[in-house]
Amino acid sequence: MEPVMVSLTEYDKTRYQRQMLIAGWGEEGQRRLKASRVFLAGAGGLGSPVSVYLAVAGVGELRICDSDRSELSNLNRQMLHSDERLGEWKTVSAKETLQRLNPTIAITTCHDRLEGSNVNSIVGKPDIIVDCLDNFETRYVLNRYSVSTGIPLVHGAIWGMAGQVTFLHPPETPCLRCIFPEEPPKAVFPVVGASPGLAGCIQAMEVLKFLTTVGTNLKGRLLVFDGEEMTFDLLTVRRRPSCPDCGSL
Amino acid sequence: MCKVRVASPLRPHLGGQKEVELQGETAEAVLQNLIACYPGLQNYLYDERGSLRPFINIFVNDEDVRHLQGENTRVGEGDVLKVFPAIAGGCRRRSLLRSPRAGNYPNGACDGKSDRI
Repeated sequence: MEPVMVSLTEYDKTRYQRQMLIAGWGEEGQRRLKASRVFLAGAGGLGSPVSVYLAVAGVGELRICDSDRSELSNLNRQMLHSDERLGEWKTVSAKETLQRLNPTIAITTCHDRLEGSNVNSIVGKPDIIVDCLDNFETRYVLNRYSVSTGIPLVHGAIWGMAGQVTFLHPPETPCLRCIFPEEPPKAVFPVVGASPGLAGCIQAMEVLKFLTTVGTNLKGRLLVFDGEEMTFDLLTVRRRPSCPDCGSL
Repeated sequence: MCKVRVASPLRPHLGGQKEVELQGETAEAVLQNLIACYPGLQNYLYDERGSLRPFINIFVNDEDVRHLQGENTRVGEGDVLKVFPAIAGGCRRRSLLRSPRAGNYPNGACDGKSDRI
């Protein structure tokens, strides 16, 4: 494990004091966070809790991509946005919220739609990618990029009061297409804010653990929660040798 | 008897039930019994050729049947067969309104709005 060269200011040491008390985290873990860059695909229901918790934890740079503008019907769950900023690019609204929560971190934004033709230039070379998307079409673009670059991807999705999260880093783990070979039919889905809140907090935890090297990630395990019954299933997921995205690894 | 648990998107097809108990010695037999009881699931779980749709994940206990013996995976007393479809979120384009598959999904087709989760 190589030491990280960035240093913590006295402000940092006070601000992040409580999380540095976590066993194995300490100043080294905090320096690692400060030196890290995270790419978030989506600034909606999942992107809200993920970005908030990464920002306040002191991740050095967040790059956020979302091609939508905020709408009134988003506000039951997307707490990055507000009535005052309806119609604004979600990335602009997100940056304003996050920068207020932590003015010491860097936030860059992009409101282009992620596609195979631009994924390289938009995502670049972050330490980790977080899937806060709403559709499998773009998820598969990110998945192929994650597989080809070796950058880990934290998948999250929700439906109603249910959700799922897993940590993808082939060949150590399956890729997204190994688990979900084909996208589900597109449909309007129900959602209450606490569902992406729960899934997004788990995604943020996965990112923080990976960056600080604390704990064990959800590798080869798909966490599925059912908020109606408050049950949590930890399902085993494996690579598929015939997978078109990662089978050649 | 085998317990069958279904994820939220499928529950409207089971009259809101989350879990049922069914006969069957293999995953396929249990699924066929499930469809016999709740015929609305047929198009959701299987395509026109009778193949399980790729976005439907079937687990016996905590293991994906794709990595066991597929639909021939044996099940018995005490096992739980879990039917979890991939969940994705919203939709992005008005063309989805014409998607022939959209009608198979609970709650109908897309309203044409992008609605990120």
